[in-house]
Amino acid sequence: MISQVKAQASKSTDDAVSLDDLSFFKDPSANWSIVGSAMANISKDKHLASSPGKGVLINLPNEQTKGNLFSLGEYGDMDLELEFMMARKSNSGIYLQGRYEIQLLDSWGKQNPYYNDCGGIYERWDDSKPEGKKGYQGHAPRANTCRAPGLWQKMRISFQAPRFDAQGRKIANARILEVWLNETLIQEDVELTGPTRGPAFQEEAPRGPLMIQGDHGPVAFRNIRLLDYSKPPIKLEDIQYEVYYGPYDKIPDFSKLTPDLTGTTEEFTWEVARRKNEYAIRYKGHINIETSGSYFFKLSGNENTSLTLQDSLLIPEGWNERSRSMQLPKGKVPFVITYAKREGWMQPRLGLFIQGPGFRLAPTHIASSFLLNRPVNPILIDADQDVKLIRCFVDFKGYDRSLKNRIVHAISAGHEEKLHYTYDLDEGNLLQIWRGDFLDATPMWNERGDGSSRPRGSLLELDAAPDLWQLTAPEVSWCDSLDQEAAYRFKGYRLDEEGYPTFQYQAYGLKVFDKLYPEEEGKKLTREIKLEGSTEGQLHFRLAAGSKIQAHENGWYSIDDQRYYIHLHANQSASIRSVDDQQELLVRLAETSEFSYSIVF
Amino acid sequence: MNRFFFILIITLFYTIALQAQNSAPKESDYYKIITLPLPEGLVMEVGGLTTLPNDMLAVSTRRGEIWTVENPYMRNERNPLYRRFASGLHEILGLAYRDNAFYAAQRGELTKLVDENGDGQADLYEAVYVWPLSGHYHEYSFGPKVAANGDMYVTGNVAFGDVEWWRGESRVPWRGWTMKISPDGDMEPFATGMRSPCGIGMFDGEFFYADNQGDWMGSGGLVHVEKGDFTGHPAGLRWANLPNSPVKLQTNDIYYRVSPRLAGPGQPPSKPENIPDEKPTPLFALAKELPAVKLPAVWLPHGVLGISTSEIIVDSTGGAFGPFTGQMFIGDQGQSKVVRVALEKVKGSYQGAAFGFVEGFQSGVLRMCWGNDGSMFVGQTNRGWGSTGKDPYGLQRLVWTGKVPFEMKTVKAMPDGFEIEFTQPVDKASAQDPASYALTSFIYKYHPVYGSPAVDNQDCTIKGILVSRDGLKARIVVDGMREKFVHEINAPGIKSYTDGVPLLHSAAYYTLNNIPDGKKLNLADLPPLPAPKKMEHSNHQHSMEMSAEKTKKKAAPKKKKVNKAKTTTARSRKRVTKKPASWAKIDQTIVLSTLPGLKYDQKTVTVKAGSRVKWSFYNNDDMPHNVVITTPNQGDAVGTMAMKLGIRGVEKNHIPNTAKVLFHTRLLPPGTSESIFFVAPKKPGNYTYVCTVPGHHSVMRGTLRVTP
Repeated sequence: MISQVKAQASKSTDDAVSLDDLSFFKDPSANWSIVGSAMANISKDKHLASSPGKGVLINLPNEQTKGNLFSLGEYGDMDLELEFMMARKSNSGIYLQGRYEIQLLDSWGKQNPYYNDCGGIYERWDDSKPEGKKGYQGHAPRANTCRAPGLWQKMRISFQAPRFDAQGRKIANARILEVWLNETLIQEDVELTGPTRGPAFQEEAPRGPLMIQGDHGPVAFRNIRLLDYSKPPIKLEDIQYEVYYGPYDKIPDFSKLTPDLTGTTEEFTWEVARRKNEYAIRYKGHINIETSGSYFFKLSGNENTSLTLQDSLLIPEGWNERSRSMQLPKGKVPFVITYAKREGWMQPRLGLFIQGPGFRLAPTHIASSFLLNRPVNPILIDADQDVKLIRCFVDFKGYDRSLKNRIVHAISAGHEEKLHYTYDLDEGNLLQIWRGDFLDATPMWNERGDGSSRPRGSLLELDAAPDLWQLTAPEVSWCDSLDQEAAYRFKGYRLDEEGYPTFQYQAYGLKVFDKLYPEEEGKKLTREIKLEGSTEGQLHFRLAAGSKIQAHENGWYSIDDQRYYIHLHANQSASIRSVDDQQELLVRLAETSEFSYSIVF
Repeated sequence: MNRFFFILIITLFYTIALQAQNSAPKESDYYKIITLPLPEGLVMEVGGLTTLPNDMLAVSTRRGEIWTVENPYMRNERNPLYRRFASGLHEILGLAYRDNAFYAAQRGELTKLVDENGDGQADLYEAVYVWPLSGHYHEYSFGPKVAANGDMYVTGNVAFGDVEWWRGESRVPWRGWTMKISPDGDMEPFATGMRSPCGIGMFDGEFFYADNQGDWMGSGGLVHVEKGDFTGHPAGLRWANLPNSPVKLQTNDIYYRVSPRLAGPGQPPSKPENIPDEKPTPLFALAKELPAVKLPAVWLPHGVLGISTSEIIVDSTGGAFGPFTGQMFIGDQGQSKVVRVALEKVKGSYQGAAFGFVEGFQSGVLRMCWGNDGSMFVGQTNRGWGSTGKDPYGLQRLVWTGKVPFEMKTVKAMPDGFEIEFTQPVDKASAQDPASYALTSFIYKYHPVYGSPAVDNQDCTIKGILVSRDGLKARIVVDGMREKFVHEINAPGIKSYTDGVPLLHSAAYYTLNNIPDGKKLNLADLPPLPAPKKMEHSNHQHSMEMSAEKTKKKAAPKKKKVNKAKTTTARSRKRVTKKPASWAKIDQTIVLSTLPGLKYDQKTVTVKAGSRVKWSFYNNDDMPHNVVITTPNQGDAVGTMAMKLGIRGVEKNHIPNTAKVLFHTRLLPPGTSESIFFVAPKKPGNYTYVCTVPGHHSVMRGTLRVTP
């Protein structure tokens, strides 16, 4: 889910795989090269163009030269983050340890993904079985969040290697902990009983090289980060605790108190308090740092907690989850953790997670100290054959306690094509589009609710500014919201026979009709704008804004460094404007009273 | 069939029927609640309700849908049919139908919905008027109520503070206001002072609203809202300086007179709590200085006649619904009931009496409307607030059986007392006896605290009684009437002439904003009153609240004597808030708190017989609660007794004086806690703990298992 983006340590450049050259890889075959940019033609199969330069790894195989690519290094537990670009109808794959494949495929627009679609865990293979039963244990992604050929897509994989005992016998299977495709969790905690089909190595092992499939078509990569997590997590050691009974709603000044209980424990847990409420605990001990570097601490508790390291207060007293990083030298580092628990309506809950060089975020507490708060039954809205329109608050770019991101007059439309959007009725603005499932209405409809729903899928965030605006001068920045002069007034919407809405509003003395609907099985969202009234002056409609807009043939534009496409329909024109370090695609309304375009991603 | 057997059955039947007749009348003898079946999976959290010209019913829901219901009367022994007319709206809390269009208030918009192509579903969703919101959860909007000329009234809740989560605030214009919106979409800010104005309705062509208890709202009450009025909650005054505001009052006009108890500079904010010993400031004290302050026409005493008032409708059935034509019915969400109000106009202002009417609905009563057969549709939800009716939502119909209940039909103010009109002739001897009546008056505080106890209580004395010749009216001459105060007129001793039964609802609550001018009765002309005899009556049995005590000490010789020592001992034994010195240790500590929707966080608590228990209760809900531990299976009995404490309930922490109560906490306001200490019962068994705030006991409870 979008909302479950993990708290991570700050990115270290050490983790980045340099794509200045191919030195990271072992004997790369000639189909692999380093280029400056890559570009697909959305209507041409297995075609990628490139320009010279650095930073992009590209695979352009042919019948003779189509070798797979291996890393020099070998890895066990690891996280891999990368951006990739598919050519139309192309196919590739990421083989963890050279054995376990996460599929890369141009699955754009496919409604129901299979194990062999983009982000799928490829099937295992048994030649001894009869035809049709040879493949098994493939695991389809939760949703198809694959984007169009020629767009940069994001993938993040968390992998746990199989475990072996001293005799080399496997004692635990490998696991795909998570796969995120375009910011959407599509695989979670899937156990792998053995290598998937076509591995480089049949025997399982603690480590192996990363392999990228090269023999099935053109593909490009950039921004690869590889986080080697093969070291064991650190533990809290020599834990001593002091428990002070009393209704502490703050961390007390322990120097003035006499503890009711003291002791040492191997297991870090609040349970040393031996009651659920009305106490404060102070834990002291140390952690043993074997590799100096940046360590990330996430402290989480129901009610007040704090963390002190090396006599400095790293995470001050506070509720819920807080995190901070700290540079630590090799050696023993003393810690002090405090916890004060008073409110009877909250379950006690205390946890400290640490991430450091060579190991991923791991709990230092025992599980019973950090039980889930009461989960609720989710209330999900799915789109079926009827167009689903839902008005609710929408938090653009995520929930913020101050509600500053909250769009209060928003409507979201869901379609069976699994392409959905949110429209801001206060500005006449297309806010975001997503692919996947429709809405999670739990925040709105569980108990009292807070009036908001959340998209379930891979979001294409556009922007919160109005789409229609009177450009007062050529160089002026686009507005954040409409002023009084626009005399904007939302008038409602009308549904057509198929249930698609046409939004209507007034602005600058015009009547604006704005119709949106998905096309081509959800590959694109098409928008038809009609204006009634006289259009004078510099009234503009902004189709898109982003860091870089490139014009292609036949009215196609790639937006924001190949994040998505705009396709302006025939016989219509738009211009690219550069302002404030970004570019905008504009239609001037004095020249037209009606135009249409599609957003393709 | 064996003839003898047949006769036996018939005899049995008559015996049962006779017994039923002789038992005390119940509401259901006169009004039947019929539950409409709902298709499985349809979450009918009713937000709006209206009947349509074609004999259908229409319902709007929290989930943003509008459903039309064919044959909601279940004629021909067939089920109603539900068809979805519209969907996707933002938590609709109202519904009206006019000129072939629906009108519904979403959170942020008044929307007109039209079926243009005749397929039974809306195609046009027209924004009549869009108002600002901040996006806070509590910013609900209610309506519309349509005036004769087509203008529509919509009301809006306040938000709450982020740090000061208890304080209602108006973050954007017209939150905490009533807006008047023309069909063309012109909006006129109409009045402010609303906090949670779910209860809205039209009477005599005028707009009325009913608020809920909360900060600055001592109790729910019914207010006649006129343009420019201020009804009590100051949050909306933030926008009174806007050019189109008809309210001229400013925030400081209020804050200057009643401290909002804001934190001083550099001080952390702290939630205002009731100050028991202060001299109370009621809203009417401000109204004397500030003409824009509008007092409730009728207070609806909190806990007695509801805890969260909702819809207001007027009986336009011409008698098809019973003897209350022209009167008002007001729903209550938390107590799952409907109360009744009889208004009159005195010196140009509305005032009147409120009565209990029917309780026992399946969920929280949010909306009502009249069926065209004169029955009342009752749309319900408890959507995270909880209600006495246990279902999360529902749709019911209240049908008059044709039998007239014995009730006070109206109470009218007289220059020297009140005139009670009955629905049936009274037994004159009982009506002539002053011991059949008990009158007391009280008011609520106006302060930034959540709710208020009934304060400044004072009993009234009956000086004379005149029963009309037809037995339908009793005029009582009263000493101690106070203008602006609520007068509880309880007449438990009165019997009906025909059946000899007591009143179905013995109490009326008359808000005496004005005492009418006119001719007083000459006491010498009235029948002589018998010598006073002691009347056992619940409201007086325990009347020993501090404010009553104080009044008595000052100069109120007419107050009844109370046995203070005895009650105090009882209270202190059942509610020990300090660890007894004799206890060497505490054997067991119990921590109990609440979950949203009238629930404790634990359904079962186990203690050992005879053990020394510390019981901590944290009220983390946003309404007041207590915990009362009762003898086995007496939770309902104690809850019912607590409800009968009437307006004195809050003062008494809703704790009835009964041996069935073993231990209890005080009534804890939101965000507070209390620990009590007691020795667990020696006898093992399943005891009950229950919240006795009226309306809570049937759902908010748990079992205390005492093990050997």
